[in-house]
Amino acid sequence: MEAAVISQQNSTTAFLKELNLPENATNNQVINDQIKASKERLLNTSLPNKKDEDWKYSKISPWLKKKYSSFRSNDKIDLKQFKSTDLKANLLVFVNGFYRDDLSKISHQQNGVIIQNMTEAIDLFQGDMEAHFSKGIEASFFNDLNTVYHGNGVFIKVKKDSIAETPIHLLHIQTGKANIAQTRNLIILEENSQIEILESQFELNAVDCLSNHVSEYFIGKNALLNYSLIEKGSENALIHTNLFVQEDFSKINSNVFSLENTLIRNNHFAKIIGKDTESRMNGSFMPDVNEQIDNRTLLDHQNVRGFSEEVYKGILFKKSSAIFNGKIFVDQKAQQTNAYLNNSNILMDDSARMYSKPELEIYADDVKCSHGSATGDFDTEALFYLQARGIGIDKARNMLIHAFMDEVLAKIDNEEIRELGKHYLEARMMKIEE
Amino acid sequence: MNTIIKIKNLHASLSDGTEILKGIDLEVKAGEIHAIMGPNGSGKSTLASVLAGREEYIVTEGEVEYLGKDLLDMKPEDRAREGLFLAFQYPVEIPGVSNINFLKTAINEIRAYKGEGPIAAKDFLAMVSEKSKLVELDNKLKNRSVNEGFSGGEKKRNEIFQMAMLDPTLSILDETDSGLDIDALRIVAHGVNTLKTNKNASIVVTHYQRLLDYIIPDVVHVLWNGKIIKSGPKELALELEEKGYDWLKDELITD
Repeated sequence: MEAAVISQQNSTTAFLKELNLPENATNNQVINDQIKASKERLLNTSLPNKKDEDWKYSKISPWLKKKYSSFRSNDKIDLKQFKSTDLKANLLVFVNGFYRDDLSKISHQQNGVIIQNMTEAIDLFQGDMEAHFSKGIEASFFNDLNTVYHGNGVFIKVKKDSIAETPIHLLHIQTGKANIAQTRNLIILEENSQIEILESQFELNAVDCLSNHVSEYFIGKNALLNYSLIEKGSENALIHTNLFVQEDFSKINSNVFSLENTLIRNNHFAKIIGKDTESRMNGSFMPDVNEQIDNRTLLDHQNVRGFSEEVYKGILFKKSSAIFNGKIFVDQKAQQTNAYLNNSNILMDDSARMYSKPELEIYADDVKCSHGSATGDFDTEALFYLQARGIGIDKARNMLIHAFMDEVLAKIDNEEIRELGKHYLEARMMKIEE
Repeated sequence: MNTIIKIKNLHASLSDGTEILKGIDLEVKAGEIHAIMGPNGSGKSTLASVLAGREEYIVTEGEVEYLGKDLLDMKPEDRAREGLFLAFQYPVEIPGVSNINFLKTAINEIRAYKGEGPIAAKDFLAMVSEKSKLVELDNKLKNRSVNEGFSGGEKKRNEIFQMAMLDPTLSILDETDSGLDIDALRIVAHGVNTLKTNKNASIVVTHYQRLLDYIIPDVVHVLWNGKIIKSGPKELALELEEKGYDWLKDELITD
């Protein structure tokens, strides 16, 4: 047993060795202490493995055996190839985790909206940073790894009573071989503020790369966050972590499109500390051959009268797998919580595997919570019905997949983002049909 | 009269080898309505399914000539595009696909197959409004998801509505009367009778005679154990109603 622990720690050390952990990187003692704590935990934990319930079905292990380095790329990149850049937004581009000023475009400046490089924000917004940086986030291998490398990322602050007039688009591009890309973002919505954020992840000639992005969102009293995420890679792995901390009367709408990559792991948590909140988290995923898409979500109700609704839908093609670990936690104090969670999946082939585990953990007695999960084969009877009316088999299949995914799309208020999501879902299906 | 469909010695099995159709011969000409009757398990629905192209049946012998073409060689969607229509015994619910969108897609796919452009929105809507009156289909149902939450009668009326919209050359009605009350039966039959011309034809598959009170067939065939054992004028249906199928089985054995 002892030997096993040592060997696990050795493999952690081996993984980290290639990465050259930075020493005291900031001028701020509070932040440095957080980083130090993360670093210590990191050195004393084992790598994620199958014995851990959170990683039981995950195909993470080959990604922990690779040797990564972190390197900046200054390649010229034509952003037009990424459809998500059609969105009229303030665009912040990160290539391999490094901010690219030459590609980014902040076209609309606004008094109440601060957009700042994370490194600078540590000096300029000390109070905010000390109050929020790495405070609510789960202590996990990848989060700690990210905290230690905190350097790149964006700090966004929407001031009290301000409504961001232009959405912000965080665009990640991965390129090259065996690089590790990590960004750390901190987004603060002050009282009565509102913003729309789109995050998208793409790659260009990238192979064996690992991304590990962490964002912490603090949604103040009566504030509204509309958030969307598009994840589209091919031969790489992406770990994506979001924490939404919600105060009184705040609302979040999170819509995630996990389209493709060899491995995608999303850890999307809402920590609901305020009363009378609304939290909607929706997702769609479509893994194909040898890909795995893994969603782990938590709606953590800590206060009264929270409303939450979560719908995740998956279409799994041959030899793919997906995981859904969705949990609703209702604290004893969180009376009159109203929470709904559903995961439904279609297996397009017998060789596809779905691991779905919706979970309720409730300690309050006056609540309305429900959860459900359904995984089934593609409805060939419906397919035949459409064919029998003259609709070609490819089109018929598309119609049925759309119909299934429409529920998720319909939840997106912003028409431009909804169309974007639809575009990527359709493009994904076309690619699979080829 | 032109032949619409000619079935010769048709044999079909399930994938496990069980033979269901054991040599069917049938010819339907333009302007005719043929009724196929028979007890449960005789192969009536299998015949309808094989003609529409359902994959779970394997044709082991025989041929089907439809409008001079080899029907069995066509994909299900091409059969539909060539004017073959199957009214389902159990119409499928398709959540998320609106009835109207579904029909518009179907019509445009058929038009594209024939080299025609998409139907104008105005013409389509006019057609919807005209044809839905025929089966007294509630306006609300047109915009709902295909068959989702429809009652049994509404589903069957929706089938006939689709039939009216697609204007088929050969309609196969598979137990369209099952689960219908008299009112719904009358509406469905009215739809079928109104759509009848001297250019198209129908095959009405049914277990009971009562549908044939409303849809008058030119020929009645009795299917038993995968074969047509007797064909005759519409009076045959009445005789069956009176005497049951056993009478025919006995006759068959005596033959």
